[in-house]
Amino acid sequence: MGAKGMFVDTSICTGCKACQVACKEWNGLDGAKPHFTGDSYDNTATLSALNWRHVRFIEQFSDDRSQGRWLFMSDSCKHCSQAGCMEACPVNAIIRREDTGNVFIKQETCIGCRYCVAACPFGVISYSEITKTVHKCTLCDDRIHAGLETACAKACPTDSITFGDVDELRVAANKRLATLKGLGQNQANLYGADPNGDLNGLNVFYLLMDKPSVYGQPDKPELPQKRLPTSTGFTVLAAAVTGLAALVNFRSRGAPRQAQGAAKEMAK
Amino acid sequence: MTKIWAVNGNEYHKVADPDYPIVISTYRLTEHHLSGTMSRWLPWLAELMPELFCEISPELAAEKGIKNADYVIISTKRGEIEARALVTKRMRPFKIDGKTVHEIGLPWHWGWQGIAKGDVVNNLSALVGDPNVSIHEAKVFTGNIKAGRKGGV
Repeated sequence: MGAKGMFVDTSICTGCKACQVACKEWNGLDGAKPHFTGDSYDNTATLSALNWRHVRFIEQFSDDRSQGRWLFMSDSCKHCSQAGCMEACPVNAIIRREDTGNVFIKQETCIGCRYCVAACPFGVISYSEITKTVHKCTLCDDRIHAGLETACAKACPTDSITFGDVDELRVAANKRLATLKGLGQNQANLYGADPNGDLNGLNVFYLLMDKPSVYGQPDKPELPQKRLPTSTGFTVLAAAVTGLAALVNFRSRGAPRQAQGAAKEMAK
Repeated sequence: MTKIWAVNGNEYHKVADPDYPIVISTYRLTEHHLSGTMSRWLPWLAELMPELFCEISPELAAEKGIKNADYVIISTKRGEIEARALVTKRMRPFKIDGKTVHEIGLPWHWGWQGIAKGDVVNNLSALVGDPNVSIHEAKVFTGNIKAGRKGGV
């Protein structure tokens, strides 16, 4: 069985948030404290330990309103082929399911160190003060191993979220992109659909109607670990410079003492 | 053609009443059901649309000194309610007979109890019925808006 994933076609999302509710219902997540944000119709604000799915609302209008559109994006864990969270976890609590390819946090193993929170390029993983562990979308691990689709895909009334084999979804996504380009939607682009692209492709990938950064996603997602060799080099260099500086310092402190000693000898 | 009930407590505005120059259009959201008596008690739905808000254009907001997420008071002859302002370019002022007429959008699902609470929009709307079956027909009406909270806070 190939990797399972989701294709999120934001061009047909209506922003109804049914996916958010279905996610919470299936995964038994508590409601968050109601809070009016004033950010369009988005009162969830961010992915969190209680919100594994989050619909973003982006209002784009030219000054005279001649051009205007309301963009929606149902965001979740991308189940990256090269998962930063997995690499960062010191206790192997984050695993990749061999048969379905989804990235899964084993709650009983997680020690709550939060290294994965910093290692995720998308800001997906969140720490819970209640469980003292981290949480994120599991790609409905229980459902997909029982032959069902994910709860969000099941609930989506426009099939903006589709679940299936990643290979097949990629074909469908490229076809949809070609259709949109044919309709003159030149800004439409696929995000994470290229297996040779950033993070070797995302198992949950998107068709976006504008640049990823418009949707609060990194245009070029990369793992923070990528900078490790460079920063290690700087650390070693800094240590060497400090050591040398210390040696030089001791030498100059030793010099007057020797001079004093010589003066004492003279006095004798 | 409408049925009207001109009785105490159900006063109607005059046509183009200068005291109530703003068009108020009420509507529903996908997150709540009708007046919200069922959906406002569900945590998963309450968090998605937590509070009564009204959508106003940046032009009207500038005119009335209202900032995004501020509290506003919306009034008609029949009553006044408090809501949060959602300033958005999706709302646009009309040009009617050379005059600028503002419209505000007012979703309709709140009440004084539940997890998501808010004022009752029906406190604003007068009783008007359709001529055949007398079903309530004040989905769109006129009113006024100002910055601030009820009780002057």
